[in-house]
Amino acid sequence: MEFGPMTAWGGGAFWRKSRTCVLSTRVSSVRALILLVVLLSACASKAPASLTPRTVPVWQANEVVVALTALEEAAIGFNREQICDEAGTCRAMLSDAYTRVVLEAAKDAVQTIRQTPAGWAAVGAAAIERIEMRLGAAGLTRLQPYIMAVRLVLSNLGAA
Amino acid sequence: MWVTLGIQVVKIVLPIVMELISKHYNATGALPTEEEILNQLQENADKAIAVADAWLEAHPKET
Repeated sequence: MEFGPMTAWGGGAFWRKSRTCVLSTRVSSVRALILLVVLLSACASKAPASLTPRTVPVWQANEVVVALTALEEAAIGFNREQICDEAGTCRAMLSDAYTRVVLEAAKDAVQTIRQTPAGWAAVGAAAIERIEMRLGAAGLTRLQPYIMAVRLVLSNLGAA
Repeated sequence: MWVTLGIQVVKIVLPIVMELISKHYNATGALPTEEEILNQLQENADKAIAVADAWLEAHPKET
């Protein structure tokens, strides 16, 4: 059985129409797993009891970094996969330009969070806003579940 | 009904809860120390930056 990654999110109408576009179940499973990990991470919003108030922001910062990494990997995965129309013209599911937007924003955010972990909330939110502003409709459609997952992580960790 | 609910809790809810609990413990079963959390952040940040750098270097911006 083969189907596109978007079917997992209920957005695979175009995908199902195209006979030439086939991805393995493994690819969509990996993406679903990444999303699940991020969502599970979002549920774990309470820091371990062994941490001091000084270290709790570091733990929270780490959760945000993991979520941003999942977003990076999703963007790269969509960029790697080709989508073809019935005329046989193929293009990346996420363009190089949009992938660059995601990776540059996420990398900048992670670098800042590493230097100042206490600023995870503002930095993480700013990165997501930057990505949403610069992504076109096609890019947003592809990455919406992952962007939502990062927002959920930020929200559950206590970001305003 | 209660049997079905119980099976669902055991098969679905419990594994998720165990996963969440295990996230808070290190390999020895102890709660993570401050040093471990700091190291984890550095490692994960390095990984995130490396993932982005690898792709950006392989796909240079067209001028």
